[in-house]
Amino acid sequence: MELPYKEYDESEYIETDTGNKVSKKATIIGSHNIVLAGKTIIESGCVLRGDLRRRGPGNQTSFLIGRYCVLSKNTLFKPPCKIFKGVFGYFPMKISDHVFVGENSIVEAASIGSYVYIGKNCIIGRFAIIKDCVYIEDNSVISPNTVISSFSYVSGGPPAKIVESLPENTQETFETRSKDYYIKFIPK
Amino acid sequence: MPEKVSISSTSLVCSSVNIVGEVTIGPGCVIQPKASIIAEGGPINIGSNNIISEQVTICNKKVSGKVMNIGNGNVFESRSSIECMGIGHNNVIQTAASVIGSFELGNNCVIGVRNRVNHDIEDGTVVFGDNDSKRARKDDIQTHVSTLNTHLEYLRDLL
Repeated sequence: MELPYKEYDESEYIETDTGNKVSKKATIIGSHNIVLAGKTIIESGCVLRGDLRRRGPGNQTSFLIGRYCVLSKNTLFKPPCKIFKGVFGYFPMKISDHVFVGENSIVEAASIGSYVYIGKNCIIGRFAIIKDCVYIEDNSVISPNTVISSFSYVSGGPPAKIVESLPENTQETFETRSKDYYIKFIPK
Repeated sequence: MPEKVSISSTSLVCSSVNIVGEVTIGPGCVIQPKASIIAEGGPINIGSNNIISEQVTICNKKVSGKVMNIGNGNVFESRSSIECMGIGHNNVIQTAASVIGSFELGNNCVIGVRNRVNHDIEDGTVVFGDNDSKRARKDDIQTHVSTLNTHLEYLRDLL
C-alpha cells in the first residue's frame, strides 16, 4: 500500500544530526535520559516521561528508542514501575527499530521488539513485552505483564487476544512502510 | 496562578499542570505533568497522599454547583477522567478509565483500564473486563497503602 506524503511545518520540528524529527509541541521531560538512535519521528502532543528512571548510580536511561520509529500525535510513554527486591523503581523502556505507535495510544511496556505496529487508541499495560513482527489493532488493551510472541495479530480487549498469525514477509512489509513514512514526512 | 488555589507545602505539583478555579490540595499529593483539575462548577478539595498521573482530568461540572471532595490515598492513572460528585479513600482508577455521573464513588474501589462507571457502586468493587463486569475486591488494602507510600516517596525524591 502506498503511503501519502505527509507535510509538516518546518518551524515546528527540530531535526537532529542523526535524522530524528522531534516536534516542539511534544512534551519531553527528562530529555537527557532518552536515547534516540536516529530517523525517529516524534509528533506533536506526544508525552515522554524521561524523568522517571531508576534510582542510584549507573545506567540511568529511561527510554531507548531505535531507528525509524514513529511516535504519533498525543501518545503517552511512561516507563513501568514496580517494587523489585523491596525497592520501588521505574524501569527503562526499550523500543527497537521500525516501531509505529498510532495516535492517542498509551504505552507502559517494558520492551517492544522490531517491526511492531501499534494502532490508534491502544493501551499497552505495565511490563508488557512485545516481541518482533507484531500487529496490534486499533483500540486494543494489552494487560500488564503480557508477553506477545512474534508474528502475532492482536486485537480487542481488555484484555487483547492473539487472533491470528502474520505472514513471513511481515518484516519486509513493516520495514518498507516505516522507511516510506520517514521519506515521505517532508517539510512544507 | 489565581489566589483561590491552595496547595499544601508537602505536596508536589509539576509544571504544566492545568488548575482552574477554587482548588485545595492536601498534604503529600503528587500531581504529574499535563494533569488538569478544573473547578468550574464548584470547589474541588483533594485530600492527602493522592497520585494524579499524566493527562488526568478531574472536573467539577458546571451543573453540579457543589463541593467535590476527593479522599485520601487515591491513585489516578494516566488519562483517566473524573467528573462525579466525590471520591472516597484508597481507590485506584486505572489508565483511561472514566467515572462520570452524579454520584459519589465510595472507598477501596478499582476501576480497570478503559472501564466506565456512571452509577453508584458499592465500596470495594472491582470493575474490569470489556463489559464493565464487577466483583468484590479481595486483596488486602494494606498492600495498596504500602505500595502507594513507597511510590509517593520515590516520586518526591525523584521529581
